[in-house]
Amino acid sequence: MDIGKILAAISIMIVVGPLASAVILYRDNVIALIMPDVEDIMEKFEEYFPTVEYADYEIVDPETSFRVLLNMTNNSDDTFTFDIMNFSAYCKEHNTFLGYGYGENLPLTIQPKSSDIFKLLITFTQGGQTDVETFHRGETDFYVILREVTIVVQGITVEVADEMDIGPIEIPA
Amino acid sequence: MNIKLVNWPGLACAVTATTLILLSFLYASPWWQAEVGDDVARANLSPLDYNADLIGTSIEIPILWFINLSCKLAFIACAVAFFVYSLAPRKSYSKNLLNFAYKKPIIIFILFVVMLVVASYIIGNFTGIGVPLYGASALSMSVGGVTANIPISTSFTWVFWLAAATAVLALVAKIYDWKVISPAFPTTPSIQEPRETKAPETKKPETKKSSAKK
Repeated sequence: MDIGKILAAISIMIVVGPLASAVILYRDNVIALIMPDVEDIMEKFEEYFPTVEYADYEIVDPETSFRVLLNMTNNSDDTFTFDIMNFSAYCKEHNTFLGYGYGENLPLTIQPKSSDIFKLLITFTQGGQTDVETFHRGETDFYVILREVTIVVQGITVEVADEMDIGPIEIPA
Repeated sequence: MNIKLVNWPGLACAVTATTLILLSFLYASPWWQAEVGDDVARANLSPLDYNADLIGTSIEIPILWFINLSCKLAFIACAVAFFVYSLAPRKSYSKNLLNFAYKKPIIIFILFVVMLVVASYIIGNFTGIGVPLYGASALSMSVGGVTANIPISTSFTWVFWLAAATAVLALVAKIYDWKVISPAFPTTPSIQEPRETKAPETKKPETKKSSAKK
């Protein structure tokens, strides 16, 4: 047999062989041959983002600042890193601008299947202090609204237009 | 072995093709890679290997495994054929080996580049997400009240440039054969000599030697 024909046959087998095998192996579900398992990815996607629970608060300076502690749980199999968090805080009841806040212990890397405390430090403005002292002293269910929230996680910057409620916070009398 | 007869670009192509195969088998070395955020998603692509994951989950597309297998077989065949041809380019089968081998790395390389360009174009047009072929950019996505700016960085690895060199060497080997080897050692067409008309056999008288043997 001519060697040219043998080599041509090898060329065809190299291309057709694997593809024909693929079609034969997946003949019952050809779509699975070209589509990844989306359900598996979606399941993992839900696990990927940590769950956040309000844990506690600390008064840093009775006049100017307090700290909110959030318990963050990473349910995924990979580490999760918070790089930046900035926000503006408003009184939920009066919509008064209370002050600025930022993530204090950043960058925070949460190990897989574990939890860590995320600290948010809120520094009051003069107007904010007046609002709290005038209307909320001694309250046990003071709520703060976070706006203009900017979070950088895993190198991705997320800007949240929706408001986030934080509380209840106990204000000393 | 006559050194003048060796097709050096072809031999170099056999070596680089073998290196690509070994890099694939040992390290699954990608030719092109993309990273989204800090390890949020990653894609390592080459015609010989495919590896992609999103948030730590491997994205398996079975057809790509079979395409990779096809390309691996093509590169192995190319390397073997180029090696045999390059050392003996004047053998009767050498031209066939050269024609069998030299197109494969070129076609695979061009198809890979075309696939990347087309995929980037399709993703850009249909989803609005501009994925650069080389360099860094940031995608802006809005879902509900959340806007995400997602950094994407892509790059061609040094293995891509090795593959480019392999494709170029394959082409140079063909040109070298055409311009250098063939003119230096022209193949004379086999001239069929006219058959001599056989004279009727005449019985020769037995020699004394042969008769003595008997």
